Amino acid sequence: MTRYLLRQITLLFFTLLALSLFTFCLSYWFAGSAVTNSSGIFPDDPSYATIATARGFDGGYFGQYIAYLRHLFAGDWGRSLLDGAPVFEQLIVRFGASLEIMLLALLVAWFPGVAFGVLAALKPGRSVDNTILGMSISGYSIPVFWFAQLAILLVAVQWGLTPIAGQINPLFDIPAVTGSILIDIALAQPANPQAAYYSAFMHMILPVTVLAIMPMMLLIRLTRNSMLDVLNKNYIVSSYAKGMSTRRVLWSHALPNAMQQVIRQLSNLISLLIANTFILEVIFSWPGIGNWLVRSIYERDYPVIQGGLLIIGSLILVTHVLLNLFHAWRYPQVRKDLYAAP
Amino acid sequence: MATTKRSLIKTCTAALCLPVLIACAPQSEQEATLGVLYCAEGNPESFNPQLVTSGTTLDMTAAQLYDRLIEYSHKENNYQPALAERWSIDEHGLRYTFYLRDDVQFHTTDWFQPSRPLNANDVVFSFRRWFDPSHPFHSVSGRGYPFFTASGITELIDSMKALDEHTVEIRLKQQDSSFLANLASDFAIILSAEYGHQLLAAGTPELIDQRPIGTGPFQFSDFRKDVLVRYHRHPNYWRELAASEQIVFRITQSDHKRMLMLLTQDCDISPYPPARDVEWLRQKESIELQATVSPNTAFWAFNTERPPFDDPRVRQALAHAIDRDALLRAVYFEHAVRADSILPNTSWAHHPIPDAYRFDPERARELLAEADLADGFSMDIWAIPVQRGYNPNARLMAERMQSDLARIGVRANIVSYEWSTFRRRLAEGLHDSVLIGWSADHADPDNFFRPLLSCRAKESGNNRAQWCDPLFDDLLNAAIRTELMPTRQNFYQQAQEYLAIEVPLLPIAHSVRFQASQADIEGLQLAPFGGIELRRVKHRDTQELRP
Amino acid sequence: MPRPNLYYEERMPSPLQRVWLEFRRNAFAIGALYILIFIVFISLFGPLLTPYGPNQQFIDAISLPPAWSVNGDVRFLLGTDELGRDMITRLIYGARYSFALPLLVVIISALIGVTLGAIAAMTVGVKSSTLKHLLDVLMSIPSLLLALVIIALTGPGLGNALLAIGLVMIPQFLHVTRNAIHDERRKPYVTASRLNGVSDYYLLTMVFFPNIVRVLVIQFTIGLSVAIFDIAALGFLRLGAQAPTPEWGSMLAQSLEVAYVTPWVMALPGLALFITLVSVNLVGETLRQAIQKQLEQ
Repeated sequence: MTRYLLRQITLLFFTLLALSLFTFCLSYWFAGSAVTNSSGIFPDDPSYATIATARGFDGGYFGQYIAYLRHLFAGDWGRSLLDGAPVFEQLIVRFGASLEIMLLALLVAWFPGVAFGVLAALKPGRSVDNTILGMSISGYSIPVFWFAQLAILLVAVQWGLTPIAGQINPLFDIPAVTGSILIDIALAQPANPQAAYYSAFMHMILPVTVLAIMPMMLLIRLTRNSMLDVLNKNYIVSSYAKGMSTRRVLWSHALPNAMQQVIRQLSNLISLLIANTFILEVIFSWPGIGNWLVRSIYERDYPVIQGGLLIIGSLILVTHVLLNLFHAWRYPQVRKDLYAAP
Repeated sequence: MATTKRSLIKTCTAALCLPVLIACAPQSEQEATLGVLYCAEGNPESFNPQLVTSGTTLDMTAAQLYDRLIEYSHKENNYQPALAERWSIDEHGLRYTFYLRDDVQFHTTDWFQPSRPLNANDVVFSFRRWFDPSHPFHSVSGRGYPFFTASGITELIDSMKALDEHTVEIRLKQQDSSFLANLASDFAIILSAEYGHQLLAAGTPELIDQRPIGTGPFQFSDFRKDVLVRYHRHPNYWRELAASEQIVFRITQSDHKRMLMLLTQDCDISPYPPARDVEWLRQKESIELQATVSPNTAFWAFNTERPPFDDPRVRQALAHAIDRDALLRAVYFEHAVRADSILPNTSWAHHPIPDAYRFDPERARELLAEADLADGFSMDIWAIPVQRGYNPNARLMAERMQSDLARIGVRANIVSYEWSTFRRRLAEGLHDSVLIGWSADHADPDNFFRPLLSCRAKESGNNRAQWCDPLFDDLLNAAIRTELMPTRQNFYQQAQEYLAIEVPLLPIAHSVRFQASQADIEGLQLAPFGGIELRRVKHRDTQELRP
Repeated sequence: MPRPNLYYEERMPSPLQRVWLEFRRNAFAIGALYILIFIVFISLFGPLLTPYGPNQQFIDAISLPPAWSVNGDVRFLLGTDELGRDMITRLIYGARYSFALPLLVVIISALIGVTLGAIAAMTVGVKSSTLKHLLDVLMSIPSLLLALVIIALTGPGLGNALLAIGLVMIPQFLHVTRNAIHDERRKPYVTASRLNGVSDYYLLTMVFFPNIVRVLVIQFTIGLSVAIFDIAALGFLRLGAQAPTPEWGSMLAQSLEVAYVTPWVMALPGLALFITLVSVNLVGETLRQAIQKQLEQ
């Protein structure tokens, strides 16, 4: 395991390095001055020359890259070209907001996704299976931005059940510290936390549910397919033969082994989740990173684009490695395969 | 990843507590959420109206955070005392003396505790900031003072001094009949000199525009970009205290989302509802719709510095190419009248010249042929990304115009950026043409000429046509050098005729301004001039708020 | 020239044929396939079918509901939008932008990606597990995000969006091809061919290709579904096709302004997108299952 851990961490290190190199290069690839693109300071600003020197622009590319990394670690990610606000501070808050709905959606998607998947796998080719599979394919194919709008029109406007924008009723004075509204309420300790949690919960229902749909549908199919695979294995047949109850076979033999394959493909699901989060944040005015990134691309706010990409990229890379590690830790047989491979 | 874990725990707790929450939410919520939600169209550029001209920022700052020396009352059609309880003007119209109130308190906040009420120093400090380049704050925030530069009063003021603690004297270089009107506008607000000195000492002068201190009915509390601006009631306000404890501006760029938020009660007040929905909104019982004839003009300005728009014939041709009546139907849904002059039809100097701007594609093609552009050309139309009182949907308008222009062989591209970027690029003159407009800041007709089309306006980046014509400037200056109505009228008439020949811009419409609010909101008045005033706004009785 | 059938010979259907036989058994999948063929048809011949232009505005027919409702007009079967443009015309033209162009892009990327993948597999030692890991990581980044990066560099626009999606797809095809060849290369039939001394080119086209084509077909349907979704999503975010292009995603974005008054303007482009995506995904999933079944036999 240690060897595997080290390998994965090395992989993470180099990919993160590559990512930072890429975002560093973006300063040059974007139009305009590289100093402005990385720092957010316009050439007519009096501090421009100082900033350029601090970022190593009087030296070679290598020195600049080192200076870039130094600035990154110091928390100086430049300033927005639009309003001069420091990118890093904004990113932290927005990252928290994005992470919050992603995790919640994953949670919401997980249990029904696995349950329906198992259900379908138990009766392959039968009507239950076909219905679930049909539902899964069509649910997976709903364009999420369309679905979100339909949900808004129906649930919020027609039935008046939920609000449609933001994290909480803004009349609650909850300062944004982490960006995750639930944590922020806990930190702010308002006079009536229940009402605040209730408001936050109501604001979350729509975005989280809509966000959970596609991953859930994908999860159904992943679970069903790997469950089918596992159910055909000899050890399942032998478990039945030993007279074990169906429930025991499923719970202690089939499901854990089926989940192994599911977890291996989980990074697909995460990437789906991230892409959809971007779109839904725009629709539900969720003050997250995707919303901001999309706007910045439109506005050509280069320091923000770089910062946003760096943080989302890092999130993906870290998740990828964590998933690999979890997989290897939970399923030792995978490790053996890995060692055996040259 | 610690965040993750905690958030997970929180979520689970929240999910478990849910039934309890639902049971007890409605009562306890009222206490924490007293206040009014106003759906704003964009981020404020600054919290100091001296620095801006955009209505979005003015609505959010001017009447909320600050006060002016005098105010214009549209009901009585005269100037009313505000921070100045009275004023006097000498017989030549050159020396103005203002006598200030002595009971006006500045905001007390975490970052500033005033030691004294407002006095003459504050007024001098605030005014000198924009007209005196040697003032320590003159170059702070680096945006310039577009309204004052464009309307020419920076040049107009000769000197200004405090005669005693509560008396201020302003001397002008020449007589200017629009001076009081400019002082009553949203831009001439009073800052705190004491706060200024505190910030200078701390070495952070730029905070004066980011963490504002004023005398207004509300004080600044919080700003989250793209999310909200929060104000609390100013407890020592010199007039009747603000009716609401709290006012929150929710920043929502798209007009359809603001409409939906109004329907789902996520907003209490939504300015500028889309014109297409006005009829539909009228039928909703839960929504109250207000309308006012606000003097404004939507126009299509050509960047006269860029070929081929430097040729008046091309500009005339483009003016004749547009079917403005169709625009009134498709974009304004008839809640507007066709504009045949830059000056709104409510003004006493209004002088329409329909023939200059009539829809005539034949003539347009002829003019283009005269300008050697018979094959047409391609151009950009910049459409403002936000809804303003004068233009509910510039993008839609641009799309309609696209097909009109195609008829005379002009290929139009629609360009749009986020509002603040849009304005910055516009001020830099990077556009071919722009669909924008102007709402009156005060009742004087000068407000539609000098801030928009003078050479000074070009310097300040407010002249969307980048048009500078000394002849035209002379007309405008002549018009303000006198108080005699008929003479002024005559000059403005000439100015409008000149515009009809030069066509730096095509006037499109004067529209009715709408504002929608929840039916239980009261105290909301839609003033014809300037920004919105929210100090009397509140929910009618014990409010029942949705989460 | 047909081969003379001199001897009795049990003709084994090729792997692809067998997949097709299996595929045909699913009526839904066949239906989906017909829908796709229909969409290709209207993409090609749309302009001949529609009475109006996609941007032709009827000022007397603004925001008309579909023809079967009380206020509808038979001239406009599915109603008109807020500018008085015929919805059905725009939808038909939209098929070009939302289906045909992504299809074209995926075909081009597939050609490039498969070629590169084959070259990589044949020349570079497949042992380099670092490269494999890096590609794995690259695959885990959402295509929409990569497309956003490319659009951040090139600026918004349909052309740039297509370019971005194309560039994103290439490494995916490369990866799949390379892995597929890698999986096959130790199998006895390949060794046998190698012992026969065939050229690399022959090995690739006649030995590997027929056996990996199934994987490629699956990847192709996945890629197509992703490309259609991404192009529409970019259009929806106003980073792809710009107004007045009748691309379904950007039509949807524009329709939001009127969605609460004239819901059909919003519902229709989304529905078109939904049907297209369901069809592609259904065909893809059925193919995958058919292949799976065949492998098990």
